[in-house]
Amino acid sequence: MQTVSRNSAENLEIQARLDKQAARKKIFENLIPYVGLVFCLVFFSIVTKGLYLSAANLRNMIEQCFTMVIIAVGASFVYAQGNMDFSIGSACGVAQMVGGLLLVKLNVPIYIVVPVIMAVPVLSCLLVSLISAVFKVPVFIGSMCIRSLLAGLLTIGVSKAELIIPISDYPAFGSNVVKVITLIAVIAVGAYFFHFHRIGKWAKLIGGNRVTAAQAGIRVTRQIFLAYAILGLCVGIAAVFSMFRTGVVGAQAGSGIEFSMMLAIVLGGFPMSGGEKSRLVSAIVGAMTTMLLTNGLSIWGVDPNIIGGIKGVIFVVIIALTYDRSAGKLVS
Amino acid sequence: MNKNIFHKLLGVLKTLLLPVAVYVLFGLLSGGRTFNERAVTTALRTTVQPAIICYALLLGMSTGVMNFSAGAVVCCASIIGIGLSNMLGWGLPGFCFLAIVVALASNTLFGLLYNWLRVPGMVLSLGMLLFFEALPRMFFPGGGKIAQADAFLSRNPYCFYIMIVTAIIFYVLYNLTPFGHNLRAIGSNQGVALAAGLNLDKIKLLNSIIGGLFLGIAAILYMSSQGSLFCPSSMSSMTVMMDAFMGVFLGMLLSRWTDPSIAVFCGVLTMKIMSAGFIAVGLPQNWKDVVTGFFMLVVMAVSANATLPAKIRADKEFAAEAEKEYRQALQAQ
Repeated sequence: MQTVSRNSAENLEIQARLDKQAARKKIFENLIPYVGLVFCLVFFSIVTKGLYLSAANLRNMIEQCFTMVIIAVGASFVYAQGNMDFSIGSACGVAQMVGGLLLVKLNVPIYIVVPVIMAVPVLSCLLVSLISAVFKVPVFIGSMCIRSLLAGLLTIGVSKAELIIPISDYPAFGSNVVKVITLIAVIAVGAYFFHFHRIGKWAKLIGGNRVTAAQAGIRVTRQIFLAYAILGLCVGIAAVFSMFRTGVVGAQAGSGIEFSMMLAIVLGGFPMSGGEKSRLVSAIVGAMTTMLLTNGLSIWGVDPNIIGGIKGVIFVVIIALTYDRSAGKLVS
Repeated sequence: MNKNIFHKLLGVLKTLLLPVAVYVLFGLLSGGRTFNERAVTTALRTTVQPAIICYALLLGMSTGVMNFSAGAVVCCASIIGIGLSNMLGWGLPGFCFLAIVVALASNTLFGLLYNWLRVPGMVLSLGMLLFFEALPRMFFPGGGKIAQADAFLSRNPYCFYIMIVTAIIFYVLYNLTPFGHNLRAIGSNQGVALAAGLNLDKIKLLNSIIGGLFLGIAAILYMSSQGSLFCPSSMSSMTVMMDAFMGVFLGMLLSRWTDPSIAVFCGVLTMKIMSAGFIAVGLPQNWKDVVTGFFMLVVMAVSANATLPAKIRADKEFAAEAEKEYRQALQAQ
């Protein structure tokens, strides 16, 4: 067998070339989400002949992005651990239903209704984490079951009639100033906890290697509960504003949020398996891109039900481009 | 009697005990309202279609692939199959043929993408679910409708003939062919199966295609039972596979006593008796999803922890033995 011998200069050259390739790949990976965001803006502006960037639609997009970005902040903690929650859409719907029932049917004061709305998704997310962390049921399946359960509750709650919320009585929840302040506060607090606090750092460590995290003394189960509670809280905040934005709570309330969130995570370049590459900004950019995409397709005149199919195809394509294939043929 | 046959029969009886016990329980709770032939036949008839979806899911899960798009494939095959058949004037035989072809094509696409992209089946199936939900809307936006005269396959006794034939096909494929053994080998340990020379890509693709055949049969029964179907959207097709999903997990629990082809049928039957039983005791129809979700959680939790008592027992025995050895060593010193 022929042996290949290299001197140290050649080795250094090869190493330098590999480093350069890796750096280029990293820049490419980091840039792709932003390119996607800009592409959506430019493409839909052209095909809709400027309608996409009209003042009315921009307002609409900001409203849609507001909800998704808030949920994305919470979801970052859960996805960074390599977990997910497929019940957040139904939890958001049930939270709105409970809020609507308290407000409209029972005339409960708003200062009690808002915390209750926020508490419902927290409880739901904690239930998902309990099933996953304590009962060892795969989180994907566990959250699917919770989704079915909550969707049933929502259908029962609004089966007689949709709940009409008197939004004019509560102008604060429709105020753009309140929304901007809430959004900035959620992102700022989220960024602090995700990047500078042990909650975020441990979440990434758990996503990287759960066993190592446990060996390092991190109480993994407790951290999983905490991450899900943060997600629940963010879904709760989104539910409050969604309820007062739409003014109606029906059987479709919150539907589709869970998949949009997964798409956002993928589009933003946030690793599905979590770990140290997780970045909050990726989830936020992904959430914005998802909303711009949905809105753009809708303005373009695509059938709303076909949009789901297009999102599915984009999801598969992005997953195909970004998924870590180190498992090779052993993927299941 | 041969001892082996006796054990197999005993296993089947043990498996049947669960649906029978649930049936008796709900019969008593409802004041005997379900103790009649009609209720039994209805429960058995409504079990057929989800049980066939179960077989498709079970094939995938044997290799560790969870396919959430199964419900969407069933809807897609039903609507496109009946739409094309009505358009071409091919009638019921055409519908059966086209529904199976569409389901086969859909699952083949899934299998090919799975092999090509190398991403987890669970994640891929989510994207495919949305795609398969949107697909029939592109060609038949109004959904599909079967002529009343053709909608008899889901009725008694035809559905039972279909069930028996499908169960036999599944039994033979799963137990008596190299394909079935390969599936179980991959399910046990993919790495070892690969090292042993199994062609994982080929087996998984074939598995997906055969799963498509079962989904195609389920699509025929689904359209026959519903009469007309709207195009699904926003993951509403998940409800089609929810019963089957639970049946698989319950069936996997029951399969310790008997063959999976019988166990999953009993699993779905149990769920169907339970759903009908809740309505019989006065629970509104709207509560079905809540009850289904709740029972699914319980079944999953039990299924995931089925080996826990044995493990705790083994750990205790191990600890007691170690303690005994330690004491003996102390005494020897």
